[in-house]
Amino acid sequence: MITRLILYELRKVFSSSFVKILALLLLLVNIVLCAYSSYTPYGPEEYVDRVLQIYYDDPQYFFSEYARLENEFEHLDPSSDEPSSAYGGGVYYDISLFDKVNEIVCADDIYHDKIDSVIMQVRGICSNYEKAGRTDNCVYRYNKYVLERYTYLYENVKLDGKPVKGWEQYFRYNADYFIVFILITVVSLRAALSDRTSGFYSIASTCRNGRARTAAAKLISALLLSAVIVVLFTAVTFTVSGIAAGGYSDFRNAAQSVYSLQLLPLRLSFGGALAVDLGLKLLSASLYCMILFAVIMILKQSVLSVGVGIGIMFLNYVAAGSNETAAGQWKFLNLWSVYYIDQYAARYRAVDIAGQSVGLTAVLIAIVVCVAAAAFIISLGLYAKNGIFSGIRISSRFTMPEKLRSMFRAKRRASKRVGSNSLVLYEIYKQRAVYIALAAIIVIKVIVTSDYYKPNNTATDTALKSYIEKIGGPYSAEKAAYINEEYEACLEIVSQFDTIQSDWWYGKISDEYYNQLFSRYMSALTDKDVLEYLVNRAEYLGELESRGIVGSFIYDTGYYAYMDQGVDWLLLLFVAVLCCRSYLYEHAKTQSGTSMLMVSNVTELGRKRLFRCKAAVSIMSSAFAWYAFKMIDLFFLMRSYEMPDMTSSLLSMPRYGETLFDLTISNYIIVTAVISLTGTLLLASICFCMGYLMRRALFVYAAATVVITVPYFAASTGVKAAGFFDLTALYDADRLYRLSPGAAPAPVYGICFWAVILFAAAAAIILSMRRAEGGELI
Amino acid sequence: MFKKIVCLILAAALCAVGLISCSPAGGNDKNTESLSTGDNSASTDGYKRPPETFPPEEPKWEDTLDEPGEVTVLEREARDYIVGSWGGCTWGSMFYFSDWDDGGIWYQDVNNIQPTKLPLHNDALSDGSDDPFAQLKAACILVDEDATIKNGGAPVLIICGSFPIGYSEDTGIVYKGTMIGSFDTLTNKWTVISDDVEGEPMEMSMYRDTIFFVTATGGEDGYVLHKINRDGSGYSSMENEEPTKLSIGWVHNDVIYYVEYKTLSVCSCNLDFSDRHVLFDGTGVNYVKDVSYVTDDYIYYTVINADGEEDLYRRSLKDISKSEFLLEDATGGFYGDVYYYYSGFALYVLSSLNMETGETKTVYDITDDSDKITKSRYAYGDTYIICEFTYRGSDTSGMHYTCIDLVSGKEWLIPG
Repeated sequence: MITRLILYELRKVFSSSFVKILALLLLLVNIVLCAYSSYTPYGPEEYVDRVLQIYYDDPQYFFSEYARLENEFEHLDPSSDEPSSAYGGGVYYDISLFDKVNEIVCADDIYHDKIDSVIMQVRGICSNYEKAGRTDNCVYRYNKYVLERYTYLYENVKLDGKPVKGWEQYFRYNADYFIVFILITVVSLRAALSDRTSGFYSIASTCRNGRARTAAAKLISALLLSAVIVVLFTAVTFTVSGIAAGGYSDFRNAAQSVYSLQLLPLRLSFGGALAVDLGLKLLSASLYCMILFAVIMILKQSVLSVGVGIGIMFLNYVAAGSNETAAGQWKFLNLWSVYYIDQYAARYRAVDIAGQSVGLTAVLIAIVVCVAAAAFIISLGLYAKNGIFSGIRISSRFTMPEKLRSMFRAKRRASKRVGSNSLVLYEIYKQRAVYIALAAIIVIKVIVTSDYYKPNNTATDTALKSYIEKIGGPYSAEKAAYINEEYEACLEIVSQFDTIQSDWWYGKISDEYYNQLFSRYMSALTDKDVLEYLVNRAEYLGELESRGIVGSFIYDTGYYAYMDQGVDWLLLLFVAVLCCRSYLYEHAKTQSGTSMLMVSNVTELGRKRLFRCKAAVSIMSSAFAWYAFKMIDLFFLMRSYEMPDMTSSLLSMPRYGETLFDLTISNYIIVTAVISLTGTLLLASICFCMGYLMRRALFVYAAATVVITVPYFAASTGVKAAGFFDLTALYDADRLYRLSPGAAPAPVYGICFWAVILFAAAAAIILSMRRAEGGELI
Repeated sequence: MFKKIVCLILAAALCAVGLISCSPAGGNDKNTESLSTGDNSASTDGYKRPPETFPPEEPKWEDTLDEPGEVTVLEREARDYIVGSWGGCTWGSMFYFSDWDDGGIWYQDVNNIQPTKLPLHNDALSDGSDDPFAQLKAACILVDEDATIKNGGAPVLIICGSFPIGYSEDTGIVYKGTMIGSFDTLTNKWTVISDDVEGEPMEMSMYRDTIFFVTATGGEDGYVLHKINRDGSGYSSMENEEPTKLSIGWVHNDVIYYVEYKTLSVCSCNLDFSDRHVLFDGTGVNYVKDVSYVTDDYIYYTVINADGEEDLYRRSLKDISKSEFLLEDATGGFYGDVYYYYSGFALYVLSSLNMETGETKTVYDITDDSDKITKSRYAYGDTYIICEFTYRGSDTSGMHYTCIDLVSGKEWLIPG
């Protein structure tokens, strides 16, 4: 019975064209990313092969030649001589090629040296603990195990000393995590929630064992689909990496041949490592699938579940990069690290549990078992018609006591009905999931922004700030001369230091004097770069002065941090989803075969009011989100950076040197803010209209993705014309302002850009309004 | 049908396991010596690289040293005031040090010397990003003696430095301001005490439960003195009327003694930085360099003389106006009430002066080897001293330490 249910669930998911198209698109994205990551442009391989052949023909000759080249390199005068490149065809240095070949043929020795140094240190640590009589603790136990494991590896692993091809690229590729998990999210959602609109949900709920078996079948089918996705994507990644790298070397060679797996605690061949990698991927994906399934069962809401799913993915990714000092090896117990063998199993990992050193794999298995049990209990318990409490009735043998159920029923009846007839409020209520998601997005935004606007404590920036404090303000020839003098003095100190060091070394100057000079040298090294930057700035401001414009020396680190923040994809994502979705769910058919839109479209008033209300909510929400995001940016910016003098001319910064208008910095910031807001609202209008004009969600989201991202990526790759259709440039107004400043007056491009976007937005709005008024579209 | 699927999955899994285990490379056969089975593989055995001929071998400095001995470990109470060190610090027979070349913090047990330095966090598998201390820029360390005694003798270290937070193409590794944390060597636990103080760390010391540290925020003149309790509470910093360079000298009887370099004066204040006043003016031909030690009766300080060398003076706290000359050309520092100092810039002779007994001793004298060896960076133990040395004229990569037993006079190598 349950097998049929599973097959039925699988058929349902496979029958969705949305899932199939999305899977295909994501597969294509994975192929492109993998090919890009694995492709190595033509390098010294040909020459390395030639030198390798020399080794194969006569190893004695190879090593004597290598010793000669090393000797030659050691006695080279770097200022005048260049290393020979007889073997490298004049393109690559011989010493580099011989180094590379030596690494290949001596890989086994290098590996054993590395493990030997580990063993030596571990023995020392154990010896110290034993001597101190502190053997009853986790650190000692951990080191004892490491000693045992790596001694075994030292004795048993042997690398074959041949070039490794393909494997490095395969294990290095780590972009498929998000792609695979997004697809698993969609598939799980489809499996979990598809019955809620089709009516099967009601039938299943009434059948004996219907709830529990259906829920189990759904979870199992989601797990099976996750496994299929992982296997499919891994196979594709393996194939593409192999093709891009020109094939794979012998799969029987030890996996330790790859640098990232040098400390792998298992004795595995590449074939074995591939299998373990696949196993880890399956484990990570099924863990995610089970957690997500339980979340969906609790929330019973697709958008919110997707938000939580993305949150889980993102948090796990962030956890992988957390601070080792604070998190220890626990930090590797996250979905991202477990997904990749070169993260999770790059070395032996263990954690301290009550003084015992417990291997991370044991902990992972325990977590998987607990999560699996919890996911099954939650899914089975909550898959029911009437909410959480009646859902506890898993079978006819176990039901919630009538007394308890009546308590909830009584509460429900007692609650006072509140509400409003406002269309706007109802619209907000209907989009509540998106607004809850906005709260989550804002949290992510705060994390990302606080990370982005970290105080710049580098010595260079401190020196820059210190110089600007001295010479800040309008340009003058005296200030320029001062900077030039400082720069010359700095260069003098740096150039003389070799002589000073030599004098000190041979005892010609005292330590005290040397320390003073050394201190000045170190400070000059930092100042040199800053002063070079300021000398260039002074030259630029001098040119401005000759054009009759008075520029200023300003401390612009914070300003650039703000302006170079780029496109806020989180905001665009929120606006696009909110506005595209505005009309989409009105198209959804109910069990009676009609949709709410069909009902409201019966009257002209219904059409108009609904359109206006939805348009107003979308625009207002987008404006609010823009405001919230900008405030977050400004808060963290002001907290971490000092802003330049706002009354200074914008032209004080060379990046604006070829723009036409001479604005003050404060005016420019206001202008960019206004453009950015307008851009956000235009994007909101276009997405809203697309949602209205196109009925199918897939088309709407696909069209929105294409409209937003394709021009952006085309422009990023250098297709200048694409910049005129790039909606994101409107949000990142600074980029728009500086669009092609050297070729023609910037405003011309700006006007063209605005005309195109305004035309598109206006056309979409007019079409939508005509339709809302009952007129013909074309 | 379900059973069929389960059977299918099991069969597939068994096949996969079989494939891995049956492959000649990954098998569990203990007799399999090599993972490589290809017949055409050229073995590297017998073709090891010939021994290096360049540079010519120099006499080994290790030969001049004694066999490793065992230093006497004293049991004593915690000191009130402990000065942090950039080089290394000791507790009992344990010697902790930072590696300026390779990064990281390491240790050796002087009474159980290992052939290689050991990582502080006792995890030999970690390297690079996996090592919490690998990229620590400038690490000032000290042993929290009070916490160590309460910890059953397992040292608790206080470490202060700049930790990397990212990488910039323009400026290389980007460092966070100053971070201070404690490391319990018994549990291997690192606890952050403070991680949001602006500026680079310059020096650190500890008075009972309070950690004092100086950061430089605005170059040569922007030094700020901070304090924070061991548990992370009670942070405050001393506000300077105008930017200055300063150095905390000593804390005694709840009074901070420090040098303010803008006016070259020796000053004092309370632990909460209140009641600040100048004790004496340190300007003149011989200007004050540092406050080295303070007792109930005296304040010991060094001055830079007309030849640019350091002299040791002291003044009575009861009559601060009069100074008393103690040693000429004697750069060094106090450990307990013993002043260790060397004369001249080549560090050839290290001596000690016991302030209580007035006894002077020579710890080592390598004047005869002065063309070969210089020594610097000391860590003081109760009964021994550890020096880092370089071997002039040869490959100086890596660090080498010697332990000098003050009781037996023996000197032996500590691999670093």
